[in-house]
Formats: sequence, structure tokens, C-alpha cells
Amino acid sequence: MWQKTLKLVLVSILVGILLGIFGATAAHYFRAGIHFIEQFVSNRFDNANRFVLFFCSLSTAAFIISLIKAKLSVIRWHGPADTIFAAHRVDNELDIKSGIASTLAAFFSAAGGASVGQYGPLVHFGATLGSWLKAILKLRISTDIVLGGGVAAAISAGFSAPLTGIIFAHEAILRHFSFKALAPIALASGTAIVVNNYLWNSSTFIMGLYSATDVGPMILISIAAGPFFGFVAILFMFTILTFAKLPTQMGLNQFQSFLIAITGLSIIGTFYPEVMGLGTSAIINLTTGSTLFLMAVAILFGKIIATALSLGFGFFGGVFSPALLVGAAAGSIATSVLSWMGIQSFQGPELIICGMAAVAGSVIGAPISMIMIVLELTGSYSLALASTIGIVTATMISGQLFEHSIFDKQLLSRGIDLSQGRMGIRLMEENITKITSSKILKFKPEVIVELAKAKMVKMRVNEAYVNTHDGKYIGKLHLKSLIFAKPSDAIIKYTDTEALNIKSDASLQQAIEAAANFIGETIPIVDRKTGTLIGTINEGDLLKMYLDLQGQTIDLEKR
Amino acid sequence: MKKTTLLLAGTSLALGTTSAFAGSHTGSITAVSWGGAYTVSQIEAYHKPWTAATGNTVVSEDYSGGIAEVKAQVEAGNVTWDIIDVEKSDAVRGCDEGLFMEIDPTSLPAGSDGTAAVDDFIPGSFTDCAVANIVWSTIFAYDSSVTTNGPKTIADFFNVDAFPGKRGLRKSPKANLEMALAADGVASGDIYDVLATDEGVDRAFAKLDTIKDMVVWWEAGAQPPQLLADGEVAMTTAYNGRIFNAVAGEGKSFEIVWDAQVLDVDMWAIIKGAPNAELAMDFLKFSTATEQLAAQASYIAYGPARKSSAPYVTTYHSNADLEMGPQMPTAAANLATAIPNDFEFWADNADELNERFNAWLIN
Repeated sequence: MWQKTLKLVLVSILVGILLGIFGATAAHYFRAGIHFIEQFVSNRFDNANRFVLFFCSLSTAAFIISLIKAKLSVIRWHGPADTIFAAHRVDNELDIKSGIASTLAAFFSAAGGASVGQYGPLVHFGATLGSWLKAILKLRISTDIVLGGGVAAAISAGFSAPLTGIIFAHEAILRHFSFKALAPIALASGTAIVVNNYLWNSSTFIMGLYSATDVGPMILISIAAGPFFGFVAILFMFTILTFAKLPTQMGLNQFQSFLIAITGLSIIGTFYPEVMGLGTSAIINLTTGSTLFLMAVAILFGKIIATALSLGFGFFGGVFSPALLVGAAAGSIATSVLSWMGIQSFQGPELIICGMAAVAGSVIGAPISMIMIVLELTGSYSLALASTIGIVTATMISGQLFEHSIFDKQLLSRGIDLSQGRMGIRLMEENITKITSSKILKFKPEVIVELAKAKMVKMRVNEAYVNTHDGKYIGKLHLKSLIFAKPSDAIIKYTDTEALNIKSDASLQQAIEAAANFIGETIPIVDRKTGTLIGTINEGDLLKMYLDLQGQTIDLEKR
Repeated sequence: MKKTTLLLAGTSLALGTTSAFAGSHTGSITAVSWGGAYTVSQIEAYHKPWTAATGNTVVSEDYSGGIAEVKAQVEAGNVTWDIIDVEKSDAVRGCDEGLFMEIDPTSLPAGSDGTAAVDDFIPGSFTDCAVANIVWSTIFAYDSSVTTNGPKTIADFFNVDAFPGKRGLRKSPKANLEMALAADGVASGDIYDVLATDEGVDRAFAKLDTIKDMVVWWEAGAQPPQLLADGEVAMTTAYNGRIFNAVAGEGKSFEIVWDAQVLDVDMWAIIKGAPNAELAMDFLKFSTATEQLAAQASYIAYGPARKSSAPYVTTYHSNADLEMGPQMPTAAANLATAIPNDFEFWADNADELNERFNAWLIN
């Protein structure tokens, strides 16, 4: 027994370290590659017309993305929403091919100048790496470890914020505290920062250490600014999700979608190049310089529209980086408003940092991670403490008025309600056909009572089913109904055609809801398309399946 | 002025209170049934819950079947019974003779699953004047502590050489003639075809002749278990629920033989001219609801007449380990050679066969 436990611990540690190395490497080359392409384009075409430049680079990116989609037969791009969903299932690892294709699509989208983020794809890629490791090494370790480790490594290396990586994995992805996965996740996060720092000498990209702030007044300002940041986050998410539906509503094909995105983005990029690409330099400018009010407003709306156009009309990438920039712009606007009101105490980056964390925290549904990231990226305990109020107020507003995160909303549109918890999702996911028994007694409608009764008595069953000659379900036959029936009558006369039946594509949740008011021994399962009787289930099987799922969920979350 | 107001308020209060009490009068009905464990099951499942729900009470009286007493009351214009538990053939005959009130099945409450009553009751549960409540059967039983390696088939019941000892039989042609033919080799599905002929009736009586000298006749349903317990008979026909209760409730070691059991339904009928006919109708609707029929099945091994009651049939009321499902005459395992009573046959031929049976007894 102890050897098995020791082996499991060692494997978990090894997986954590491997994920840290792979995650850091992927994050580094992802950013370095985009930076290289951006520099290359900038150096070569410095004097070119900006519209033409954006149009060409975006068109090239669109062409490559289309190629990736066609060659790798990708139906849709996979991102953090899929990672979260995978973390809520026990037996469903991430699709490695789609994960890699999506990361490549995000890479070329960002490199081509589309307004997309890098962290979402990196998070999903990290989780995909975990799934891949688990698959090739045939590891029998928890999904929490492989997904959480990959996610933590990506965030840790991406932001140079290892503690944030650990918390983000639990808060945004796993959505529960995983005791057994904590050590591997922490190891992955720690390894990623070590590899990142020592191999590539990376450091915090946004800012250096920040000096102490006056906590008391800042908290008061945060309380007032929090709702504003929350509404900005809602506007951001709403616009992205609305734009995502437009191509389908307008009946556009892929080429037409790309054409609209490329044209629109080229126009925006011509006037506001700050909002294009990852937007890293724009964030640095906002936090370190003093941006004019109107410019901040333009960046806020420009970034929201550019991101919505990019993600909605064919490009792919994350929403975290755009949310950071939108939040920074919102913080800059708040700072300007304070200045107009004569409050000059906070004319530094305090509110801008708070705005970034609050809007991003609301968008990705991870307020505690955002508090931690403020602490790790600024080194200021007082700023982290003061920002906390703004962050939690914003997330509360957006959570109450919109949704827990944009990922939750995306999943909801696919019929997956994360608010139901793991158990609720599993209940909606599990199909009942796996517990359907095909050992049933079936009769044709013209069979006479005497024969049916004799057969049922011989087989000791109280219920049988009546089908048409081509197998279509008609109804249920109760032995009790036949006892005093005329022996020469056809059984169709005594068939209960109103008996409850469940369609074959029903989930366990739907079946339990149906069975809650069911009276009888077995419930017929009927094929939705053909109308044929597939088999039956009974309440005992449903309860057993429910208990199995409950056990698996407890196993996933607690042990 | 103040006094006047107080007096007026007091008068109003008194008026209101007395009016309220005057409006909530309660009544009583007389329900007639078969006595013993069966009536106890009805008291527990029907009478007490009805009284609790409505405040009305039920006076219980026993009888031994048939419609003679009902006929006497109706013809004398002195009806004292309100509702009676009758066999189906008697329900049909009583209705034909104008002894029972007509009942509209659509007025009965739907099953607990929402199924309309007419679809929820098993086929054959309604006559023009009666509504079924239970499915019961006439079986035969023996005491396994006395008779080891006991009888297995109805033929064994009539084989006094292999299985010596007295036999208990109900003092009625019903079930006896069917069982006699089954013991003589007639398949359960052919019993009434054979019995519909004079030769078939002769054949049944001839079979009964083979054990006539050994028979102890019983009339009330409570007698057969007592006959077995007292050792007066080696085996006896009985209502299956009575034997079950002797085993489950009194610890007797009786064994039921289900071969050639004669299935029947009991029904509630309301007597024409009943002094409390309206209340009796309310009681009938209440007692034939899904829950009440299922509740009765936890006191006695009779199957509920409603399909919706079946899933609520669980265990014996005083023994949570004793599942009631397999004890029912309608359990698939007990139905292999069952003979469903042909009510129409008995409604048409009861008088004639009763006469012949009585004559046969005397001779």
C-alpha cells in the first residue's frame, strides 16, 4: 500500500515539474515568437501605410489560421472555457489536437495584429500539455493535477507570478481547492518561474516594485470605482459575446467573416494602433505615463470593439490581456475624473492597476487571483489590500448582473451550466443509454392476451412492451391488466400508451426528474429519431448511476 | 353606548361561533365486510384515515357473502347497511336485481400519477353498480409443521390416499367447482368452457364426490386458518389473505399452494335506499384511491385494484423485512395456473349451481 502511495506522490511531483518546464517554455516562445514577428514587420515596413500594413498582416494571419483549421480538421477553437469544463469532468481529458491548433491560431492572430490575448491560449495549452502527458505516460493521476499544473505553469511563466498561478488554477479553472493536487500545481508553478527566470531572464512585464500607498483613502476610492469597473467588464463581455453571434446571424461564411474583421481592425489600427495585438506596450504606457482622458476613453472603446471583432469574426485568442488593457483605460478614466473633482491624491498608477485587476478579475471570474497578481507584480501589500475592495466590488457587480465569468457565459450558451457544480454538470452530461437494459419482453400489438400472459408469467415479469412490426414503441403492458382480460383479445386493447417513456438522448438529470413522478417497475427508453424501443431503465439503476457519479465527484474534489 | 357596543360584539361572536359549529356536522355510515383480518385491514387503511380526514365515522359489520341479506333489507324497505364489500358476481346480480345504486366510474379520483380512474383500475374493475378494491384468490393451504413433504398441486388436494386427512372447503360451489375440474386435469384456460356444459358440471361434482366424506365445510373467511391451527383438517381452501395473516401475523407455519388459485375481485357497492348513501359514496371514493388501496396491501396480501397503487406496496405493516409483492395472488410467480373468475358465468349460473350444490350436500 505504501509503495503505491509513494509512487503516486513521486509521479505527481514529476508531472508537476515537467508541466512547469513545458509550460514555461511554451509561454516564452509564444511571446517571443509574437514579439519577433511584430519587430520584423515593424522594422521592415516602418514607413508603410498603417491601414495597408494591418490589412496585409491580418490577411496573412487569417490565411494561416484557415489553413490550420482545414488541415487539422478543427471544428471550433478551444480555450479556457473548455479547460474549465474538462476540469469539471472525471473522464474527459482535453483534445490535444484541438488544443495545439487553437494555440497556433492564437499565436498567428496576435502576431498578425488582431486584438487578442495570450494567456487564455497559454492556459489551455498548459492544460492540454497536462492531458497529453497523462495520456502518453498512461498516468493514473487526478485530472486536477494535470490540468491545474499546466494552467499554473502557464500563468506563472506568463506573468512571472507563481503564487497567482497556483491560485488561478484553483479559482478560475478547477473551481475548488484540491488538496491532493496542491503540491504538483505549486511545483509546476514554481518550476515555471525558475525556468523562465534562469533560462530567459524574464521579469514582470508590467511594472517594477511599487512604493507604498495610502491605504485608507484608496479603499474609499476603490469602493466608488469598483462598480464602474464592474460595468466596464460587463460591457466588454457583452460586446464580445454579441459579436460572436453576428456571423451566424448574418449568414456569413469564413471568408466573409475574416474580410469584415480584417477591414474593421485595419481601420481601428490605423487610428489607434495601441489597441491592436497583445496590447502590452499600451498597458505599460497607461500605468507609467499620464494618458489623456479622451485617449483613455478611445482606448477603452477601441479595445473592446477590436477584441470583439477579432474574436467574433474568425481570429482566436484570449480575453485576459484585452481585459487588462480595458481595465487600465477604465482606471485612467477614473483617475482623470478624480482629478476633475479636485482629488489629487491618486494621480499615480494606483487606480489604473486596480482597474486592470478589477475588470480582468470580473471577466475571467478570478478576483483572488487578481488580488494576488497585484501583490506579485507591484510588491506592494498596501496597494493589493486597497485594490481588493475595487476588485471584489467589480466582480460582485458583474457576477450579479451578468455572469460569474465570460467562460461561464460561453459554456452556458453550449448548454453547460457551471453554477450547477460538478455534480450538476455530470448529471446533465451522462447519458442514460449506458444503464439501459435490453432484456425486455416485447410483443406485437395483435398478440392475444392468453399468450402474452403466459409468456409474462413464465418469465416472471410484471411489465412487457408493445411494439409495431417495424419496432416502433407503442406502450407498456401490465400483467395485472391481463388477469381478468378476455383471453382471446388482442393485447393492444390493454396496452398503456400513456406510460412514461424517456428519449434515448436524455441525460441522467432529465431521467431522474422524469422518474421522480414515475410509478412502475421500468421506464422504456425510446430512440428519439426512429421511435424504436431501445430498452428500459429502473429507478434502482438511476440511483446507482447517481451514486457512482457522486462518488467520482467526491473523489475528484476531496481526496 | 359602550355597553351596547360590547353586547352587540358579544352577540355577533356567539352567532358566528354557533353558525360555524352548526355547519360542521359529521355523520356515520355502516360498512359491511367479511370480518377477521380482512376487515381489520379495511379499518386500518380505509376507515381510520377517512374518519381522520372527514370526521365521519364507520360502523363495521360482518357477513359471509352473497346478496340474500341485502335483498331482504331492500325488499322490506328497512335498509340499515350503507356500503357492502361483495364479490363481483354478486355485484352484477345485485345490480341486475336493483339492490345497488349505480356508480359512475368517471366520478372516482384519478390515480396518484394523474391517470384517470377508468384507466387506472385493472380491466374488469367496474360494474354498473360497483367498484373493485382488491384482487384476492381462493387457494388451498396446509400446515407444514404437521404435513411434511406437503401437497404441490390441486390434484394432491383431491388425493386423499397420498395425502390423507380431512379437507376444508367453502360451503359454496364457487371456486370448488373450478378447482375440482383443475384437479381432474382441465387446463385453467378451459375451466369455464367445460363448466358451461352439463357434462362439465357433472364432472366437477364427481370429482368433489371423491373427497366429500372427508370435507369440513366452512363459511366465514376466518374459519380455514382456525381449522388448520386446530388440526381439524390436513388442508383447506381459504382466501389467500387469511392464510398470509396467520403466517405473518400469528407465526403459523402454513403453506399456500398457488396451483389453480381462483382469482377474484372484491367490490364496494352502495345499497339502494341506504340511509347515508351520500356519505357512503364519499367513503367509496376515498377508500378506492391509490394510497388507500396500497395501504391496505400492507395489512393483508390482497392486490390493489389500481395499477398506480402497485409501486406503493412495500412491506408488511409490522415486519419491514417481509415484502408484500411476492405474497400477492397477482405476483407473476403465482399466476402460472391461476384461474381468473368468470364473473359473467357466475352471474348467469349462480342460482342454478347453488341449488344443485345444496342438493348435492344433502345427498
